[in-house]
Amino acid sequence: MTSKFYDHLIIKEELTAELDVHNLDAEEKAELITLIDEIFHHHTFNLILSHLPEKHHSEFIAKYHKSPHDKDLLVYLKDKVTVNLETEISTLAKKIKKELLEDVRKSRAKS
Amino acid sequence: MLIDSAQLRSKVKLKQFQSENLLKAHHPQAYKLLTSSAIAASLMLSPAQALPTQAALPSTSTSVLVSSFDIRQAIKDQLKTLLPPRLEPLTPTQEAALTELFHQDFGIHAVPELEGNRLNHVYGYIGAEQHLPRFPGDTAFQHDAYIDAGITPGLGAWGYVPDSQKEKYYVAVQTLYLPDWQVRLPYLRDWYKFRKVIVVNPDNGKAVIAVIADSGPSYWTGKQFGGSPEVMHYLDRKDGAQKGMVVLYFVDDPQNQIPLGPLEYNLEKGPPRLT
Repeated sequence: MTSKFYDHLIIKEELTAELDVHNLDAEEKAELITLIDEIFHHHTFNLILSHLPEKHHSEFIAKYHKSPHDKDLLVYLKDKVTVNLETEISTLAKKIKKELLEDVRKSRAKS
Repeated sequence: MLIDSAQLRSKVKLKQFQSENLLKAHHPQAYKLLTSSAIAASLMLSPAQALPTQAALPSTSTSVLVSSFDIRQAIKDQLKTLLPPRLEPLTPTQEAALTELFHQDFGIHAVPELEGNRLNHVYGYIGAEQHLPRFPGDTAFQHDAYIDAGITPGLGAWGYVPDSQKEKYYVAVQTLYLPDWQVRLPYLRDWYKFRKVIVVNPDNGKAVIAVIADSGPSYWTGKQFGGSPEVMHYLDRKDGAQKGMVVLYFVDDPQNQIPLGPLEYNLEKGPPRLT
């Protein structure tokens, strides 16, 4: 996945480190990381679009597609939303990460 | 540290599916813009490259875009609930459920009984067979793969198997133990010759389309079917102490449109693709 403007708000290292200690082959691990990235992406966008007035959606998406990594997108969003979006994204990401970590830990084979 | 990667993948896949659906449900227009632009960008950036397969979805999903891995996983999960843990005859309800499952996931019509004919078993142990001679003087070394499997000293029950593809993907079934085999031999011999079947390993969900090209194995082996080296390799089935069970159904394919070999996607829906 390409880098995103919100990447710095989502700390995924703990998750990738947890995957590292297991016997996953490179392909399995890469697929899981892609899926995990998509989960964060969907939730983050759902959150952003829920706070961003609908009239700005298409403009925001066009800007995003033009430059998905551009941190000015956050500046653009901050102008148009009434909440602290960075805090909201970080909080949501922590919750998702916790759930995913639990999934990884619960999948340890019983031997 | 060991991890059940298939289980983890299923869980994460489900979460990915749910998160995508959440976004789609809450912001349908924005979602459309997001995905359509992403596809357009992807096409512009790599015109010659195949588009990535859309993430696989659980069987309950409404999407039709699933990869071969996901089909196998779905088949495996569903067979686990449908099949008895030990070798025993299937009930009519179980048999019908399998027909439905194969149609739903593979897009084929597979049945335990076709044109009034049925084998004594549709669920049983499969053993490893050798290559079959395709022509006089054929040797194992002349086959594309699995030379170590050897070649049968005699011919298959239906003689030479001149079509290499049929020889690669063949099974042996116990026609000799059919109650009416001796009585209806001329008819049944022709009916079973190179009859198309689907063989599924319930432990991994892998399926292969093959033809019946030999008779056997003997009842005292404790096995009900035999598989060519290619069939056994693809299904990841072993012989001997590690022998495992398979489901074997007739494939109703009067137009002969279903190709032999591994079945990795839904034939009615086509290969996985992003639309």
